[in-house]
Amino acid sequence: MAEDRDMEVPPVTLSPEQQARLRRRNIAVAVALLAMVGLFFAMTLVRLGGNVATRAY
Amino acid sequence: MSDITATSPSAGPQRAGGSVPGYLPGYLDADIADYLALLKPRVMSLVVFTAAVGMLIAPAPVHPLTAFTALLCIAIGAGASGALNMWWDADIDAVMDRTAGRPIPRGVVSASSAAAFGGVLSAASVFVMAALVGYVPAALLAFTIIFYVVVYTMWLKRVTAQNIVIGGLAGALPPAIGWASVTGGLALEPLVLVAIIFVWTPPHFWALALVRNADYARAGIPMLPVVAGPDATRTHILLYALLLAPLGTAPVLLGFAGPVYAVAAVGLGVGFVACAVAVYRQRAGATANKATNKAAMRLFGFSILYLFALFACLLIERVAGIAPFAVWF
Repeated sequence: MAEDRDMEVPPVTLSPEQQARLRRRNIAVAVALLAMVGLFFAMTLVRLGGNVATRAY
Repeated sequence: MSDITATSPSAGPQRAGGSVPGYLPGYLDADIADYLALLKPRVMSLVVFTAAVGMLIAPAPVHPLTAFTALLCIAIGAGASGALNMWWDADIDAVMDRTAGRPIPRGVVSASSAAAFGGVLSAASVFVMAALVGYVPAALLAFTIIFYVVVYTMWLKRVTAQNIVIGGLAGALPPAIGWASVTGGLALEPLVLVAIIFVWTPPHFWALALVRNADYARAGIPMLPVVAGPDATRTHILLYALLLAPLGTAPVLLGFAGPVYAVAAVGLGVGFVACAVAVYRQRAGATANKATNKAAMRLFGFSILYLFALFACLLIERVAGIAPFAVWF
């Protein structure tokens, strides 16, 4: 157990193809998260609609 | 300078003689397309289509962005279920010809990556549906995902020949989710559509299972042809076809479908029964041959056309403004 814990995970050298794939996956995750933010913003506008202008302060 | 190179496309980062401890095989090799394949895009497209029809027949207006959001959640929820299914069934997929090319058996995506991917997308789809569309469709979506992953994949699939009969409920529910996204509740109309898909599912999959019998037997999956034999399966297919054909006309009898759908439902129902009779007449026992496979694959292909065309007719009638029969009388 102790040996397992102490064992260092050696650094990995990615091949150019693996680096490209990793980059594409990261970009896809970023685009998906941004799209979700945009969707929440747009749906908030849709749900509030004209009520934004008539809300009480 | 590390002595580790990572060049294998299938086994992840490699040290001379083995994979690197601490790194999952395949984790660094997956591309976007491999993750998309986990979502079972073809199944997803049919789910989205039937859900869209459920939305369109609902008697209430819906903002296009709300409809888009609901369909997106349904698509992602369905895809996430597929990813979780591939994670759990990776051992089965690896020994079946039909599924051996999926990302996990190929080693390009690790099983735990697929589980995390499916789990996150499942939770996200239900959360977004609840936050932006409604609690009832979100609850139905959550039920569908849990039913497919836990009840069908983890439990029924490996223990009973009725696996796809009961498990088919998960694939049948999208029209109800679509309807609930618009109305916030349920009614008889979407439940009739659910019933049609529910009864359609067993003959659709059993037709494929007849052809892939050896595949399922090798994987140890108790599909009906494996457990009860091909002839008993052919009888079951015919019985379900005889049930499906009249059930397909129920939207007409209940007044929410019009003449286009009526003609299609009768014609396609007759065609479905004819294909099922052709399969039934191939009483070849366990001996699969060209003729038995041809009849089964014809039924399999026709069943896809049947469901697509039936729902397309409802869609066309709504888009073209053709009134359902309830308005005529």
